[in-house]
Amino acid sequence: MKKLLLILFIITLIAQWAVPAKMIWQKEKVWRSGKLFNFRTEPVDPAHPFKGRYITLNFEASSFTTVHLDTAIGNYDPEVYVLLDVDKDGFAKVHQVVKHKPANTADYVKASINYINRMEHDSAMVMIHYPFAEFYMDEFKAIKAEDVYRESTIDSTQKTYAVVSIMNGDAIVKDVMINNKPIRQVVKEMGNDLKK
Amino acid sequence: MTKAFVKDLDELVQANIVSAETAQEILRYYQNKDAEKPNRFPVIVNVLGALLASLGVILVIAHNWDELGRFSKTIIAFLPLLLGQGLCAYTLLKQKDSVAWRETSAVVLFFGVAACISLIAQTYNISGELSGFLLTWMLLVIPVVYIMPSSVTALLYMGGITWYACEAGYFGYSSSNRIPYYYIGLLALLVPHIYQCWKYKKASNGFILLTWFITLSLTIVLGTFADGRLNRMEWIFSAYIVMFCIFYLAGRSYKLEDSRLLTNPFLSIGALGVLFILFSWSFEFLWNDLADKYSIGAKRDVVLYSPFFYLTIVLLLVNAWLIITDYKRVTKIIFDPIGFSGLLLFLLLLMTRSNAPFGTLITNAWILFVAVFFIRKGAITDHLGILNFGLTIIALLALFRFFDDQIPFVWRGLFFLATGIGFFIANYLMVKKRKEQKG
Repeated sequence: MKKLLLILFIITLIAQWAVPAKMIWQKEKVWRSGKLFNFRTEPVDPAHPFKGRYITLNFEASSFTTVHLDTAIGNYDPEVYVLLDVDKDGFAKVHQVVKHKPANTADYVKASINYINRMEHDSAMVMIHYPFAEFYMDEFKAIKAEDVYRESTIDSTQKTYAVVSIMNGDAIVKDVMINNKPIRQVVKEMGNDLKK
Repeated sequence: MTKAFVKDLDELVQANIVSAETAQEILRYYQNKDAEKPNRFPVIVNVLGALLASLGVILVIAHNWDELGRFSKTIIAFLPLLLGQGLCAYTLLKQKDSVAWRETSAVVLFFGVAACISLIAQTYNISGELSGFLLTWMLLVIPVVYIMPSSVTALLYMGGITWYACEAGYFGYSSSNRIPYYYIGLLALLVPHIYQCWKYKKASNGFILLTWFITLSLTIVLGTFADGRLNRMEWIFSAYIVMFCIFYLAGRSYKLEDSRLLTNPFLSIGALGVLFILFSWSFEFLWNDLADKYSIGAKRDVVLYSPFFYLTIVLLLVNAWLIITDYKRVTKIIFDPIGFSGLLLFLLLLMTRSNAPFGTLITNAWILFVAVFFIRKGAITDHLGILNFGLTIIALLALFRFFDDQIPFVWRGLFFLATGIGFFIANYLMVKKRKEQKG
């Protein structure tokens, strides 16, 4: 009995390390070697009781209209693959949404379908939910970041986007930028301006 | 031993009722008895300390320290985990018999796991719903309950899985997988611990608290299994009332019968739950609502698509089994209607759907019957609390019907008068009976 408990104890200890370690291993690989895509976004600021404050990213690439929708995709499909491309301004755009894992490209991300709005002439508007919609920030800065963003939207020349590293279906948000400057830096500079 | 007791003993010695030697012996007996009792104070203080400190660590982590790099954050993430694991290992090796060490280190590890996963998720901006986070966390800490073993961790685990079920079932926004089926598995993982406590530590505070957590958790969580698209409101009510009947009968069973109301959550929550649902259906609007739904063309066989309808039937079988065992055991029986309330409401819902006044009438009559049962039981067992509980049920029934303008004023008035007088007479008779017995 004692031996069994000891074995169970050791397995538990290992499992408690393995889960976070696996999270790090997976994400570190994408962080280091993934291809970078810039997603146009609108951040808003909620909180998670354990992880703290973050900004939710509403990507413009969340909706995609097509006439060639993969017939295997259902209305609330929990697992689809979004193939990505870059538009003329250098921002990420959806190339296609497919049900099965693409074999000949690494520029895709695993996502889920919120709903599909089927329209005339076989066209359909697909609402995509990406698994990288949260960007965690210092709790005080997160609130300011939302203000900065709101101000930036008044001026239509300002661009807000998330830099997302993508590799074989997995993704990680590396930074959120306002006019090519990291949002943390913008908030910091704003704080310095106020002090002056 | 209280000061009042010592004072009373002195008084008895002075009044020559007890000799000084006997008084000394009594004192010695209680002093020895007190010394044998384990001192719970350090355990409670340590566990509370560990709980607060761990929650503090989680909040500090949730601040999100932007100044720290990815590498430092990752290292820091593992510190609370390492501390918890270290404390647990030390306890197992050196302090295995100390309850304070076992419980405290287990609590630190419980929150250490949460701190670690959340900091990693934060560092890498890993999205995900809270329910998924809670599920991973609970699965990683359940072995701690058995390895240490730790009752506080079992309570925290019960709280955690209830939270998971609520997040997934009530608050979650994900379109798929809204029913928290994993809750059943998570609860099953705790069953061996519950059984062990029941067998060996039935009178302990830990077990009593655990039974409260279990009954409350089941009460909260049952509703998360009701998918609004499939289940009709009446079958959710019926499943709930039958579950409360099962609680009540389990609480009355010979294994728990001796416990008092506060230490027997099955009995308390069961009785209150049954009455709450009966009172809800004592209003005619719920019955009217039901009749309306069926009159606008819903077919009778819609019933067959509601999973809660079948759940009610399964629960009714358990209910029936408990009634039979209860009937076999108790020889001198006063008919107890509470355990039958679920069956009654189920049959009413099944059969009187288009006849709202009939359903209302029967439910009200049944509540009255339940009230009379408590009054009679109180009178027979000479228990003022039970007697007045019965009278309170009648008073509540009268209060709810006060605003019911479908019943003529004169009837309502007479009912109120009768209830008021009933309170006086019943209490007067019982107090008189007691005086006579004393005399």
